[in-house]
Amino acid sequence: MTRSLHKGGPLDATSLEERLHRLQSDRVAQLHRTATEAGTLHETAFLRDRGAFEALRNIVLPRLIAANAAIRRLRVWCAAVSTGQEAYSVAMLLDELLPDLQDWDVKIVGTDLSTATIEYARRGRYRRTEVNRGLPARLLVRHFLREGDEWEVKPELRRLCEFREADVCVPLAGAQRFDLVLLRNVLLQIPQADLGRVFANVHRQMAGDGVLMLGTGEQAEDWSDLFYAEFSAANWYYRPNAGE
Amino acid sequence: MRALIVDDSRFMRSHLRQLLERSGVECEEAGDGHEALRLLRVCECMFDFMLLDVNMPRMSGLECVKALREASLGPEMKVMMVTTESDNSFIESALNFGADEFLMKPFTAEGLREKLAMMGLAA
Repeated sequence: MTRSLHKGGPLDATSLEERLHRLQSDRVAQLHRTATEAGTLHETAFLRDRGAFEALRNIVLPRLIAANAAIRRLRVWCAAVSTGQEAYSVAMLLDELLPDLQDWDVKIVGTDLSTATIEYARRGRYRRTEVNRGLPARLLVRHFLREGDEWEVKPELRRLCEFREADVCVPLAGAQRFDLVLLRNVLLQIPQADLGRVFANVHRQMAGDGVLMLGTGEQAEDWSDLFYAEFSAANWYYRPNAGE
Repeated sequence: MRALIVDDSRFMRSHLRQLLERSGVECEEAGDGHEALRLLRVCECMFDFMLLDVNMPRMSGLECVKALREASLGPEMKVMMVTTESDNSFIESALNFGADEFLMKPFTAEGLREKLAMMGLAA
């Protein structure tokens, strides 16, 4: 109620019709958001899908590191990052692959539609059941500090990650071109009518030689001709077509 | 695939056995580290992995993993500590003594499966 009294709130309008319209549209937007969040699965884990992370460790990231060695900059976008484990997992891989990580300009941007999960990701604290899943013990002791019943991601890993509330259909404000985009295990949750827009948005924000990775069994071909597929080490990758 | 479950709690041994047997893993049990080492010395059968509790009478899991690695008992056998102990320093000690992985109690069936898969054991 307080919010509606502030300037710019739904009641800061000139006519009764306009006020009613604002109230209704605000409520509809809120309801839509709540319904979307309620219908969204937040299933995630550290290093979820070992095959994909092995491919990242052995093929995708080494190639991107080599390609960007001159400028020492890497941008990664974890779209639909949920509670953050995927972004922190990529950060752990980069820590392993880049002995001179401190000399690189690395940013891993994690986005999700859900305010609650983004806040959770920013907090970077995980419960026993979460660190018990997928996270090797050596990485747990290297990258986490125990805080009571939770494990907190160490600052050196957290500074690589940035979390934002954002819709995967909408361009990210102020984002640089991404060298790697992870859009994994989320396509089933997006209405088919929106998938073309999702891929167009991802394509717009990718570096020309960037890589898009989808979840196991997910593919881009049915929804977009903006990417071409490559197969290597039992995984499919997508590269953006030039000139779109 | 064969597993050795070492825990002083009969309930926990039974729980782990049930989870593993569902995936076709054959299981043997020991009630403490001492019994586990005896089994490993006399038993001709080789175990693919060991699930090892920490706080047990007679010989703890930490002493057990240290002893079996020093004696090269089951050198190919993977050892996963399954315990309520969860301090970083403790986990580091266990890894340094020769444990391969760590699963904190309480755990889920999926958590156990994922950890085994991580060690190259598809249970």
